[in-house]
Amino acid sequence: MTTVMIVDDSPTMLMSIKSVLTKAGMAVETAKDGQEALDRIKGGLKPNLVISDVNMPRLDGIGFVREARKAGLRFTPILMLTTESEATKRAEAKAAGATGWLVKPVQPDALLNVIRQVVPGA
Amino acid sequence: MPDTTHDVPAADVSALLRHAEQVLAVLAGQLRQVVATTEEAAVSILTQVQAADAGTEGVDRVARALQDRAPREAAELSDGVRTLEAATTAVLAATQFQDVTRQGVDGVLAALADVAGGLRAAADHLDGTGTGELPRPDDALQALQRGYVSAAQRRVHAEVVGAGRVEEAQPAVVELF
Repeated sequence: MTTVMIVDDSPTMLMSIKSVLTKAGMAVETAKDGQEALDRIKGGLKPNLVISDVNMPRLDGIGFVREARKAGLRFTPILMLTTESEATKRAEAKAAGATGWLVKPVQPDALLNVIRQVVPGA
Repeated sequence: MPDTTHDVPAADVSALLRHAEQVLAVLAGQLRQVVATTEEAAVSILTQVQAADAGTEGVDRVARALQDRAPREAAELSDGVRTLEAATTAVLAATQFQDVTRQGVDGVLAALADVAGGLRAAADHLDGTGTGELPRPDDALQALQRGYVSAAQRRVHAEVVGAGRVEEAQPAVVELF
């Protein structure tokens, strides 16, 4: 079973995306900011995919990607899911090691399509 | 420090500034309350959606079990489940707007705090208790601009400050690097 970690400080987003993925048969882990996500990865969690917000307290999404790449998630796809659409932010995320960029609100079908592209067999 | 400003006592101007600061604090509190209420509502809706999803799974199982004995009824049940699933999927997408709105309001709250700080500093100077430098007139606008998290916020800003309509290319909703 594909395990996805969702990182977002919004309870609404966590619940909404978790419902979409659970309905699609995926296991879901959640973290409320980049620091909590990083701590869980350092603690041994190995998701098949991470979906992370960008603007979060403590550790933002781009900082999280940078740290996660050093902390063992070297090849795991990390998708950014954010309200931010600015090209410079996208470039920053790409340089940090993000796999892709999705702008909120994302349609469930579009999200699942992207997931199946980056995690074959999901 | 001037005693008067265009014949209005500095103390009166200072009192007005402090009053405006208080109004901004109240507005910020109201906005926070609105955000909290919309978040509670969205979470409540999502909880109901999860319950509905769990219910449709049960109905779907019944439909499959009935397929051989009552195929027409089973098909009707399945159609009903698909319709309900499509509706709940649409709700899942729609509730994301709560977070989009919350982030916009967070930016407004930060800006209100900046403006309130500027008013307080101005009032302190008029009262003769100001210690630091007054913020520059455009500080709050620039801070506002730096805090934007969406193209929509930048577009509204440009329109309001007179920079005209920003015709930026519609960014891709999904981009794989």
